[in-house]
Amino acid sequence: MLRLPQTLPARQLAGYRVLVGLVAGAKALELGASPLLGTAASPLFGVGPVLPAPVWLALGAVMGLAALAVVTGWHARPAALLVGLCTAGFVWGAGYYSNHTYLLFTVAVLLSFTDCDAAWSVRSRRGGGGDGGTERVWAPPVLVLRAQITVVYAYAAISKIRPDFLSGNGLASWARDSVLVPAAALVPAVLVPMAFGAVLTELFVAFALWSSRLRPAAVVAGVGLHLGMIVVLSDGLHAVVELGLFATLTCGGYLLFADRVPGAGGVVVPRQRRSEPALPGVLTRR
Amino acid sequence: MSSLVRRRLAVWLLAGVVAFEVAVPAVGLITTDPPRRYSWSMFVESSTTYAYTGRAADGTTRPLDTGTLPWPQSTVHYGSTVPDLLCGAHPDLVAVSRTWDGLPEREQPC
Repeated sequence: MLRLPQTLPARQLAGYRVLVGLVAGAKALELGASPLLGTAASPLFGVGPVLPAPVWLALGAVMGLAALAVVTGWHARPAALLVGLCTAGFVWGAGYYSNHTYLLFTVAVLLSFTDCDAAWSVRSRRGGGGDGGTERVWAPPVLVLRAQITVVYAYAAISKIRPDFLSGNGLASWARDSVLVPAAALVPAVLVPMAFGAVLTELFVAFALWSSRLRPAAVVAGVGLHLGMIVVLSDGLHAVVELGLFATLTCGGYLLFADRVPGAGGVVVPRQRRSEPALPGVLTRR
Repeated sequence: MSSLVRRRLAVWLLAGVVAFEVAVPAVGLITTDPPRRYSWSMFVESSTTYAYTGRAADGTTRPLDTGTLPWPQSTVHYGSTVPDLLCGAHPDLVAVSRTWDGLPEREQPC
């Protein structure tokens, strides 16, 4: 039976916060500049006026500053929420939908629920104690982020269980534009096992991350899956960057599944924030 | 409100968020076709229209239907699987060509 922890390490969450902030910074640059680079924004929320490019550039600037705050951990929770709101502005306001942008919106909002600036942040440095900050954070909001990672992989797998994908047609149609895949590899003996393998790998990663015994294999499989996607599906530098950002958001989320800090042992008494109620059990064995 | 009650309420709210995370893609999966949004349906379909044309010895060409070919081989629209099957099903043909979204691929001799 799956036992859910009461607290989780703060540093892994902080590490994911930094990664999300970096992705948000890159997307702020891309989304803000999109109208200037030839990808016109849709009418506002699909029905309003078409806003001029400087408006989206300004929104990108705000999102970029919020991303910087997320990376440094300066008021990281409101900054993460601001990243989410700016991303929502681009996705629904300007019509710049893509799955990884939607994922950025989702994880940024969920990150704002967590105590993501408990370590490796301006707040933790000001609080003293080196850069360690608080050792552990309240688990439930982090578990929601974990669930989001699982949901992404599980639905990615389920939605691929259809003849057009499993026959290898999808992989063939994208791979033929890849400079890294030889034409000789575009045969059923290669692509059909790859298609089935992709679905099985996504299902495995979705659920094996929750098991401490299977987690190392899930991490290797997940990273391999994303590297494979970059090799097979990329038809240029832009696709490499986009798939790389998606991989950062998902593979970075593997950090959240660590229940303990590698190499650390002993008993830890988590430091409480004044704003937080006392934990049911403050003594946690790692 | 005591801290314990507040924390329990927060846990229930977070459980609601997880239910929302699960429900939104499920609804999309059931009610929409690819390419879907908000359902994590990534790289699901090829979005490509395939068409086959046969060339006879006298140079005439005609469109070919893959519907009569054995399944699932008939669904594999890359490599030589379907052209080989079409050549076998139509002995008068000397070559079969395929288009992807109207763009010609190479012609395969029978």
